[in-house]
Amino acid sequence: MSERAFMSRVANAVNVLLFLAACAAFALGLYALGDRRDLQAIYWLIVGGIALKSTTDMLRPRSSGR
Amino acid sequence: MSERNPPSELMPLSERTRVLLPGLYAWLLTVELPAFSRGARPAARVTALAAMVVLVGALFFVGGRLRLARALGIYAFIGFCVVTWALLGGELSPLRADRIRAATGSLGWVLYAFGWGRVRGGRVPEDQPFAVLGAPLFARSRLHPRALPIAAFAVLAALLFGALAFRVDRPEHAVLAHATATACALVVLAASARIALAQGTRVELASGVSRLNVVAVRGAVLSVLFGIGLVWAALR
Repeated sequence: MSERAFMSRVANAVNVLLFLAACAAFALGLYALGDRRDLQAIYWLIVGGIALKSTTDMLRPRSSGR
Repeated sequence: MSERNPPSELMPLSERTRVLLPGLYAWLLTVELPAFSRGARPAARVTALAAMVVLVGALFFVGGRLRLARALGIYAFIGFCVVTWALLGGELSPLRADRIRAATGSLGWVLYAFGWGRVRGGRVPEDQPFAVLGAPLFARSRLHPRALPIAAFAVLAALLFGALAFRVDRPEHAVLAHATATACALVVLAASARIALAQGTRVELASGVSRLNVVAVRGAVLSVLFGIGLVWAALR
């Protein structure tokens, strides 16, 4: 496997991991809200938002200039 | 195309059932039960019954007079339901509500929306004068096998968010939790659609290194946040 293909696979894996992490963080945030742990809920929701934003940013198509 | 939507009073029983049953189910669980519980105001019972009457009445017009049917089955029905809930006041407190019943009632409202969403008049998009007629167009590519599991996972996650919101028993926080759960479900579904479509897509993504560089800063922020979280958890 070439280095380019390997890095592409790594990027795909990171992408999926970030997506799973975002889903888990959102679920933990809502779970914490149910347990009256408001600060933890905010913490997990922020983590989920950042992880999900990273996930979608990784899906940008190749720019035409390159 | 017009054969699919017979604009007649002979609308099949299945169509009428699809309109009536979900609404009746949602009404039973979320309107009738609290309105006829002990301590509810009589006015709430009257408006609850009125909601059911207009829903059933709408069925008589679904085949022929769709506008009237929608006015009764959607606007009047939901209007009476909202008035009932307003009259019930504290009876609808999350502390008193049965969570299973509330969750299944929400599902009933979703089915009600889908049921009415299917009902439309004789005008379909293909009847528009500017529509391009001809053989149906086929997709240029098929979805990647990984796309379906990703989408299915996102749907399950979205349902889980909705269910977790029902754990919140403080009234003000419950509203916030449902709004947050809905927002989380929407963004997760949107992101999963993009990820699923990116699998095996013809649009070439940037190189792996470029994609990893894009998230480098956010990855660092996430690492810092995890570190803070670990320290916080250790100190507690």
